[in-house]
Amino acid sequence: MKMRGVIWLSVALNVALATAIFLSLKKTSAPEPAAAVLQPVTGTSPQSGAATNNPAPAGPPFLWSRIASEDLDVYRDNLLAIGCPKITMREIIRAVINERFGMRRRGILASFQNRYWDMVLRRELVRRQWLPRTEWGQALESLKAERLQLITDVLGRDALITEAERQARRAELEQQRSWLSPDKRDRLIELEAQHQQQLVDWAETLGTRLNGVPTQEDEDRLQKWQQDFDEAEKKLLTPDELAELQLRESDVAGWAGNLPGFNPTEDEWRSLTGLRSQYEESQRELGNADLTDEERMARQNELQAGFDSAVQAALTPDQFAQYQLANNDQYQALHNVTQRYGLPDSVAAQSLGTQQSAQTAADQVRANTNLSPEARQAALNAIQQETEQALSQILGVKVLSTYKEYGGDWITGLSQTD
Amino acid sequence: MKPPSFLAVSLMGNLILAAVWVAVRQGATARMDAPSSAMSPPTTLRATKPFPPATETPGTATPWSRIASADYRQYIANLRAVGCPDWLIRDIIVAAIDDSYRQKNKSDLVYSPPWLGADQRRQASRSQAAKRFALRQEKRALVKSLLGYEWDSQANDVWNQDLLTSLTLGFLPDDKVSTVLFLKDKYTEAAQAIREDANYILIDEDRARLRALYAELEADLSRLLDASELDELQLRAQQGFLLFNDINFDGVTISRDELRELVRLSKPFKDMARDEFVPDPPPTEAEQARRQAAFEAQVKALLGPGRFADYQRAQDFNFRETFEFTQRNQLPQAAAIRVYEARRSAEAQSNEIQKDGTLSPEERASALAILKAATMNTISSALGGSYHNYLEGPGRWLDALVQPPEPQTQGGTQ
Repeated sequence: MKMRGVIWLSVALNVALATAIFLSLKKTSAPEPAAAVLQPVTGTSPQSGAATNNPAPAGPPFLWSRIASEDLDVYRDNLLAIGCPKITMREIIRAVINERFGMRRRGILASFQNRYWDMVLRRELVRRQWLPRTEWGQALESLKAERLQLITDVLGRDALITEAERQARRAELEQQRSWLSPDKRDRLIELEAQHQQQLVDWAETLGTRLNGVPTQEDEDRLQKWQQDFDEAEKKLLTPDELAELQLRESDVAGWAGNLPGFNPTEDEWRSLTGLRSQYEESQRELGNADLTDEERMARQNELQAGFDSAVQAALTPDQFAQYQLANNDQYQALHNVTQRYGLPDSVAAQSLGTQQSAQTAADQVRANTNLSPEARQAALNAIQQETEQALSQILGVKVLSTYKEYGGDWITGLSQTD
Repeated sequence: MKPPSFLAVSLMGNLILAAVWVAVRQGATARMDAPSSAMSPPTTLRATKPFPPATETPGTATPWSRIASADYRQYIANLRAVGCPDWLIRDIIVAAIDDSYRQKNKSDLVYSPPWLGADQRRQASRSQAAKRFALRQEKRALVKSLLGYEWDSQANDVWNQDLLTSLTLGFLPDDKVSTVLFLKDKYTEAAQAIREDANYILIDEDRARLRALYAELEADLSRLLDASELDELQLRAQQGFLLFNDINFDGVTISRDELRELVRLSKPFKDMARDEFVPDPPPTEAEQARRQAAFEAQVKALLGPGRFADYQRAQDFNFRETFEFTQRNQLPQAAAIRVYEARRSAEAQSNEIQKDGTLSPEERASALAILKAATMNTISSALGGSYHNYLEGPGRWLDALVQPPEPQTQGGTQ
């Protein structure tokens, strides 16, 4: 009787297991999502880690659920373990972190929405720098700090800037240094990045201390890094390349880009950049010199005159005339408008002549004490009218109208008595 | 079959079936973790142990390289096949596309040597900007064709990181926020391309193009948002008008709905969003005054005469300064109003006395001293114990009351 009971129990278990297996199989036999049958759209991104247009795998090489993890360190390592490129892994982990924080963020925002117009009324949204101090701003900032900390913990500190930012910086530097050979350029950028990282680390170390004041040891370390960097740079570049780098990247190198209508040759640019550099240096020295105000002013005038005559000597007469025009703000305003309409530079120069004559005439009328207020006003009105007519003939009505909006407000100012 | 043999076979069957059931269950769990619909939420994450590392032998395909593909559609299909959630597929694919376009942008960069003059530099910059703009357009179209909707990782970053944007758009559901920001970026970029192309000197043709673009943006937003969402978005975009015109509400009783209405009324005066997009020449003084008067008439109708007077008072810096003082000293609003009225009246009377040519200097000084004493008395009774603090702070204007007039002085009005 006992044996019979065990047999029945065993048979019943077999039936139950068979049923369970059948039901499980039925449940899991739903088809896998089918790949869309569409024309291939290809990219050149190295991010995917794929050189070819991989067809759909015959069987899935892995299941995402076996890669994904609540523990982001495990998630990260799993992705790397299956050969996911580091860049892509970072994007995935950042996306996962954003998704997790997104819900909490949404909750914070929702709880403040019904107070939005009260905040407007209280002018809480007026200044961006105040926002982090508001109740909602603090809540969001604290969440953001937590998110950034998590990104740092899982992906490292350099993951705080996105790949886009990193590449944009790199591209900018590469463009700026494209006159160097690619190998030297890349090595120089690398060298600078390392040095920059040292400075960041140094500043961060100070930030962790209570007073944040550098010790002598800190100063020495900083100096040592600077020396190491300078030496490495000298080793990498020839003296000519180093001089060229310093010239191109000096504070005064960009002057030509701010002078519309003046197009220097490379030689002219080099001469004038050298002169500007010397001029700046002399001014710095003058700033530190122990002089009276009069002496300083006299020395400043000498420097300016010396610079102007050196520039004149470095350029042909035509180029110098163009250089002077380009340095004139009034000309620049006219030039911008005439360029917009595709008019030649001579039109801007002619208009400038009219402007200067009109302003001189108006100044003379204002200074003339023999005139009654009425006569003065009438004379100024007449100058304004004549000037407007003259400019209308030089520029045309449409261009003059645009000019009045972009820099030509002096025309209405002509009739003002003071 | 004898019972013992049958039992042995049955028990064996138990073991085999149990093993099969366990195997089937494990497979089912793994499959069930995969998302079932395009908009499914993040999957339940189960893995807690490291996945075994892929063989790095050269020439051997890693599991990832079997799903990654230079063909984005295939890449998406492969990611779906392994059960990657759709929101993550979107981010992976968009990041790959972004990266690909960064390479394209990089190859289009043209170096401008430092001796290049402003005109040539501008020409080169315009040409590069045009190329960048075209690439951005192409990228957006590609993302839309792959995902079925518009998406921009940059717009999404702004939504996630910028506090003001977050609060301002926080009333919208997430997917609409992303699209609103996407549209804003898309049209702002197009507008910027027009402005750059014009070297920021806008002529009639440029403005016509900008107006057309703005109309398209408005139409796109109307299609995306329902009427109440669109209304709220427009009002929130317009609320900057209050700051732009330094409109204050200190001591004004105004409800949220009234404030929203006031902001709505300000749009014909100055449409903040549109004017930023299409900068028209500034209106003439007469036109500006006409708009101002029309707006104020509407505000008066909205608030009623009593509260409109409060509103006008709130625009005066002197009142706001006094109001702030009374708030800080926990005094009622009525105290601020009394002090403010006393000041207005005193300054008006002081002006009259100063201008009165029939008075001798001594008579004038005496009249001003009496005026000051009377005013101080009124203020003291309004402020009580805080009166002396007031005299040392915002009340310094009282000293100016008895000073001879100075030409062009602000006289403590600001």
